[in-house]
Amino acid sequence: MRIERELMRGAGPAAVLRLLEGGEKYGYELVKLLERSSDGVLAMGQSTLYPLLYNLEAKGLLASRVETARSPRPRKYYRLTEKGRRRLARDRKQWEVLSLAMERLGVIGA
Amino acid sequence: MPTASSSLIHRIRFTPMRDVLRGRLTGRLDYRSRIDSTDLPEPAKALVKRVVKRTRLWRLEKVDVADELMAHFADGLDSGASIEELSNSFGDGRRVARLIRRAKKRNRPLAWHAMRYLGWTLVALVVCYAALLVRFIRARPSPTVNYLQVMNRPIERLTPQERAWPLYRRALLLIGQRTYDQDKELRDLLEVRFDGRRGAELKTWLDGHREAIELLRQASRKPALGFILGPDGSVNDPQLYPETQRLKSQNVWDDSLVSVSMHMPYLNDLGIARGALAAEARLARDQRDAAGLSADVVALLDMARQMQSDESVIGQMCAIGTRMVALEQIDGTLVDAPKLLSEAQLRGLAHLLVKPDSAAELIRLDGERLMYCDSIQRMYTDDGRGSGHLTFEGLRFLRFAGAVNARMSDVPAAQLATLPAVSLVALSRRDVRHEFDRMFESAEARLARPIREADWATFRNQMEKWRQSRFTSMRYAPLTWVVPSLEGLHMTAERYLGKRDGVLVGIALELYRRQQDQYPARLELLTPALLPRVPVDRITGEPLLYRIVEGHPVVYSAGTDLDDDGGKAPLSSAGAPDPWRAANWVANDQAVDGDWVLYPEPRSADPDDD
Repeated sequence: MRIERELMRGAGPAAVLRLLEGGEKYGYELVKLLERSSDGVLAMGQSTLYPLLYNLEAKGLLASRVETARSPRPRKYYRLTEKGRRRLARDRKQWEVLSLAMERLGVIGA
Repeated sequence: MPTASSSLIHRIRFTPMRDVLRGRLTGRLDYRSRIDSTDLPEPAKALVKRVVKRTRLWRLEKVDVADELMAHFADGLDSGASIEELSNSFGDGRRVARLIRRAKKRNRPLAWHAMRYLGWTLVALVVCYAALLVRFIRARPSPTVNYLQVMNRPIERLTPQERAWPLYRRALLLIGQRTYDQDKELRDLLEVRFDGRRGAELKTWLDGHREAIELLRQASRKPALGFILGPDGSVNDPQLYPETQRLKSQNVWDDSLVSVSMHMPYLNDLGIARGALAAEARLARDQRDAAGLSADVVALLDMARQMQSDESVIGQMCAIGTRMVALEQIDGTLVDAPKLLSEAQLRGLAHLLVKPDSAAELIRLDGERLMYCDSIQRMYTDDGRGSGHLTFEGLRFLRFAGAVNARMSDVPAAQLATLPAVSLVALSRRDVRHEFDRMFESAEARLARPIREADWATFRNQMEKWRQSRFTSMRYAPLTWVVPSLEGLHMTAERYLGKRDGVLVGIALELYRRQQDQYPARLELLTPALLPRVPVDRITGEPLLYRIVEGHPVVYSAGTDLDDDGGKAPLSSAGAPDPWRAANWVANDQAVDGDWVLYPEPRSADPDDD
């Protein structure tokens, strides 16, 4: 199912932050995890993911490093910063509250 | 990585400065070479190159993006995806490039963002300033009122019989055209004393110009001067003013009132006429011709009355000067030939001197208001709602009127650069008009009071505040050129009125002496029969001071030092008595020690010392 852009705009960053909560990951890895973990709902191509990663990095929610040891080619790994963790906790709370409200309204779970 | 065949210049071009300084030409900023050196399929390489190029990022950023995108494709191929699947899932290359560029720029250092913000701000300022410059240069004032016509209207309503100018003109033609030096020479001659070494020369001149002098007397009896202002008015007289034609042909003269006020040669000519009448009065006095003397003094006062009605302050100042000359004749007669004029003649002269009796009656600012209104409409645009902004033409007009700082005109480039700023900071048309009206109302209120009560210091301080900084100087430039002279005008008027009071007392003293065969012990004894009241000292506000010195009366003011020096006037730098130095109300000068002697006029014993 194709999710509307406005909804993706809010969900995408939260999803990426959540995936990085478990440890640092590189770009392609994140693309695949997003697709697998969300049953394709939050699947996004390079055209969306990489700009998103750069934006989150610019906001200080992520940090990156280039790794050459683990693979034959340089690979950039992203990890959550402390600020990113706080932001994830806040987003999580907001999504919980939103879901509860939607459920009470009967928009979901009906 | 760059190949071994890369040229030296190419490697230098794509090597970070840090590497160059370490002596290593790595060329590692060449993202194309980096992409080409991988084992990715050509479609993937081409796609990555295209997207990276479109980002238009810094070289280091492009390399970073290229590495990341290449790694993504490589990881995808390693996990079994086909190049077609990876390319399809990549998304629109243009959109990707745009999003990546936007995101990467956010990651740039704060200093870069600050410089970018500053740069755009400067660009915006330059654009705004350029727009302002264009607006400023293109804007044109649009004068709608012909103030010259307004000024001339009452003059043009006069009948020919009411106008004095045609008679003055005939007299001046008889006196003859003069160069500048000849004019000065004649003025000097007209002021010599008959008992001096040039007295005979003056007498010869007067004898040779009897007809002209009689025409001057006749002219003075007319109700009004009747001189039409402007380049096409009475000055448009090739016989009397040949210079006018040259000015008109060179287009140096327009019909602005400022320009008109700069070309009023009749005031200079009436100065010659005044000098001739004064010399004739002194001759009459020497020849004990009371009727002639009285007639000449009355002619001087009438001439002053005619000049008084001039709309310009310059004309009114000349009127005060003419009145002063009349006072000098009366003063001199009371001293040198006290019995010459009859009681009726003295009372008649006193009656003529009583009015005007205040600076406000001597100086009318109506003409200045018209001049200023004319100047405003020639400096500002007109938005149809009573306002507008200063124009380039307006600044040129201010320069013409002598208002703008001379330093600006010395540096053309700086002037051009600052002109739009002047337009921006200068008061609007409405505000300058409002400010002008306010200041002139304030000045007129001050002129209606004695100068000692007028508080010109507040006025002066306001002007100083406006001139304090370059910003306020530019903002108030259209105002500062007209206001400063008003205090000086008041002082000139007060000096005349003080001297007038002294002469009136002198006349009363002479009449008293004729009745009582002695001078009174105090001035109060002259009232009310010979003086309505004892005049007030215009500096202290107390009654004028009076004493008998060596058998002769002296009437005086304590002077600006407020100290009674017994009627002794301060001396000039040449050592001659100069009572006017004790009548200087302008605070810049320190109060001079000495009294402002109002009667009689202190004079030098040397007949050739003028």
